[in-house]
Amino acid sequence: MRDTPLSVTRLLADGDTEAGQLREQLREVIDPELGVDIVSLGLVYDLQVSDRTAAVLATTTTPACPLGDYITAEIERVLLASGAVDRAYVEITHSPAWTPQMMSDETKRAFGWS
Amino acid sequence: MNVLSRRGPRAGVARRAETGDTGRGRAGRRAAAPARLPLLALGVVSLLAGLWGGLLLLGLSLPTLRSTTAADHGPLMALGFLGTVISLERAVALRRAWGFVAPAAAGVGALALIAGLPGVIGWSLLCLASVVFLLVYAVVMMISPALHVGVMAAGGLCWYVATVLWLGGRSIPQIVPWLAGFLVLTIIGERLELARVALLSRSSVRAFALGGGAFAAGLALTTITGRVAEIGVRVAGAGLLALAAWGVRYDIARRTIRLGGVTRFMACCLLGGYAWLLVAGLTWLAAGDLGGSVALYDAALHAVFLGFVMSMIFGHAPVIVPAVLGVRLPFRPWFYAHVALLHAALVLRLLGGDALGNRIAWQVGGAGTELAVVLFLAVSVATALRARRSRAGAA
Repeated sequence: MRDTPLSVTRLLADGDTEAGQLREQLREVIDPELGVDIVSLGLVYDLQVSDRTAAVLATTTTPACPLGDYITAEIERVLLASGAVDRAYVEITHSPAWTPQMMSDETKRAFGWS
Repeated sequence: MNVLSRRGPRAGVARRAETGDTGRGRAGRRAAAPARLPLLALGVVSLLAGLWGGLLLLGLSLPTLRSTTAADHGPLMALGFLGTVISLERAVALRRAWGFVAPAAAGVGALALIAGLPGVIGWSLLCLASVVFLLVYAVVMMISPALHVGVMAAGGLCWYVATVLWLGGRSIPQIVPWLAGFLVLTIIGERLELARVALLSRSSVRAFALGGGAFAAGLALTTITGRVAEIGVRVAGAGLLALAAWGVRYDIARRTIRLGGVTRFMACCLLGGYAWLLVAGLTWLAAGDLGGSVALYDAALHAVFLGFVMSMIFGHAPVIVPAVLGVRLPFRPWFYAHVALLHAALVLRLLGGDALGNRIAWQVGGAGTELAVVLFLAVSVATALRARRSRAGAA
């Protein structure tokens, strides 16, 4: 196992297409305070799928934010409800720390970035 | 910092096993969340005792639980309730077992006050809680150093200073600015953190630093008695004004209020809170001596603690309760009822009671603000239980 922030997902083999679809499904998970989904906010660092198992590396906007368990539970709920996977591994990390630059261009524009 | 490298590879594997399995992962979190319930319950007990003391201070004919029930109203609300809840929130965020010592010590400390034990016991525990709370922020700062973390930690420092001052012989009215500092800096630090999504300009950060710096400097001056303390209150009031103006100008609630559901609800609570922070700032700035009269003291404190802080608490409950307890608290439109009652009753209390001197308006308004808090608790519990039954029925 590589000792890097993405080590969880690297345990699994590639499954890019399916992973991409599941990543899109994670747009159902909304940050209630901002009203924006966690993918657009850049809170999902990585998602890989292998053998009907999904591994997700996600973050919160700050280590002082208590929403880690909530985001983890919501990611699991959405992935399992998709029927595409039987198991979901979620890990919350703060390495690297989230920055607003990680948001999607559309989200940045919505928040007034020029 | 890499979670796996911090805990070691074996711990990392164990953690993945815990959260990964469809059934066991969820069960693991469900097992952790109820363990936090007793801590939250300590905070709620403190809240209810604090509310009772508040009714006594309003001059209502009610039995006194203890001789100190009325006098402990402020510490029970600010540290017993909010200190327990906020430190619990941070402990959940950090995910370190020792972090939970802070809410435990705060909650037990408040119980000691309620029980009428010698004050030094309760206040020492509250002081211990603040130290652990500060250690939590120290770790957060090491993981991700940032201005907003420093601001929130400054709030924790205010909590510590308040307890040390009390243990050193200062009275509650003398430490009240520090209690306000704890809550204002904690909340405004959180708002600064979220405001980053709107790409804060250097001028906005400067404006924030100016307001925060003035507020902190004013608080420091209040520890010096006499004329200097009055200047300190005025400077702190100017800082509150600046922070409120910053919030009105830069808080993302201005944008998110255009959205619907819980996001708009939270934004409404936040913006309503900033309006009261403006009122508080003006009052502190104009008054200087907060103890000049009962009406002034009442208005200066409750514009902050009820208007700003409690409004924020109401707004964040639909997010924080699920995050901390692992229970669903789906937003319902009637959540606006207790928010509207809080603000309307506070207007009656401060305008009709404190400003115009109508005692009935003051008492009705004061009782109304307490009713809003009780309604908030009842609605939250009822909604969570209903959501739980609904989910169980669906399963």
